[in-house]
Amino acid sequence: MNTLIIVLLILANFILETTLFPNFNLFKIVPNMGLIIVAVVALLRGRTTGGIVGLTIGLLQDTIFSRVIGVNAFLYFLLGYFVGMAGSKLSRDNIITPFIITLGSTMTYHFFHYLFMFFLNYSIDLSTLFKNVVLVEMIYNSIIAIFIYKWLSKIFVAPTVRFRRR
Amino acid sequence: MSLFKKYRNRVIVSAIAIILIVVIGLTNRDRISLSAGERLVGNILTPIQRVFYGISHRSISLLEDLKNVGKLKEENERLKLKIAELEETNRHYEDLIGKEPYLKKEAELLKNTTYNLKSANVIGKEPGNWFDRFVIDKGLNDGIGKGDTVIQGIAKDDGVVKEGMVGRVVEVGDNWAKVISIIDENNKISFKSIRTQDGGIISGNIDGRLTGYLFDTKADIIKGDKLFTSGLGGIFVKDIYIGEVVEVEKKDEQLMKNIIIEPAVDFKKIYRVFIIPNDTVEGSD
Repeated sequence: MNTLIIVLLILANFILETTLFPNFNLFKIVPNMGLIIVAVVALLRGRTTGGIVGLTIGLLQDTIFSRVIGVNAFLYFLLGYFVGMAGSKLSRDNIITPFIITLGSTMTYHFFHYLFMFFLNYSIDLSTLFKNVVLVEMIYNSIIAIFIYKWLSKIFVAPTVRFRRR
Repeated sequence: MSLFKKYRNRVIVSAIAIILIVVIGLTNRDRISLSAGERLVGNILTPIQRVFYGISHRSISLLEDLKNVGKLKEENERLKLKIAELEETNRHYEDLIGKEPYLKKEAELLKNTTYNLKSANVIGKEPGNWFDRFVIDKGLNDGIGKGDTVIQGIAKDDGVVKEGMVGRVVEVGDNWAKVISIIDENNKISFKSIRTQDGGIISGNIDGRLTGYLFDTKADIIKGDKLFTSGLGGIFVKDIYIGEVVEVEKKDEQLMKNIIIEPAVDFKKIYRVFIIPNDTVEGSD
């Protein structure tokens, strides 16, 4: 059941994100819904699901839009995995948790994306990038993440009680 | 074996990470065509994207129409004047129809020299704020090839519709293609100013504008100059409108004049584009 929800979520997000959402920009900055979903799902469902969801979203995005395959897949995969790992140690009822996690994830994503682009021979000014894109996107992403987190934590079916040690 | 079990998760994660890095390295080279997997995913997803992009475009333009309801009366007056004006020119054209056979030959000639444009719709934009890349709904089946130039028809101040540069095709699927816009950071375009014919090079910037420099330091370039592609390097077709200069800066320690250009095309509201296939360009030369 949860698997089905996640698959639908990934597909619906991809289609909406590339068609409808660019119209809702703030200062010409679009929220990165893919990143938000990876962070929130990883937080709720743990590192394995987080990693798989990140890998799928990243690969989809790379195959359709990018010339180089794998950059987003790599970043989202590791992000999902590590957020999932951190998530098990954090309070899940607190609304601040998804906010802080998304804030950190967005910054990390941009930093490592910059590194990749640097080695793929793109010349980008780091300070302009940070000022014009990263700051606004961090705040934008984190606020949306709170709502997505609330919504998804209601949707995911609670796992049945298990007495065996995992 | 127990060691593997103990670190199973870490081993899998590192393996996937390494595979992805290898894939990045492999795909970073210039490829001739897409792999079968990429093609399949694209063929399945792009028709769905096409539907949704159409819906989103229509609803946005509906909203803008609603905003403009107040201006309708004013516009009506203006259009009535325009009709009168057009009727006059129409009479003039009817006169020309009389000379039809002679003009027909001339038109035939013109037709052969202009580019063989193919129209396409944008069906999806890359999420995120790094690049302005998008996908169009024409591909190999419609005769689109790698490296083709993508343009858009735009209205200039004097009411003339001119071509505006959008970007170029980088990869082609069966019925879809990836386009990189000119404001992408890695695109370098050679331009010339229409007023003085001075040349230079511009490239994209992270904030959606183009920055560039001129070959000649003493070149005369001012705010408001219109720039066209020069065709040097053979990547972009020549004589296509790029945009207007909005800022000129000369730094003493640098030998070049830097300029900032506002592109003619609004990349956030792009819907219909035209493609100039490379083979027709070579034919016209």
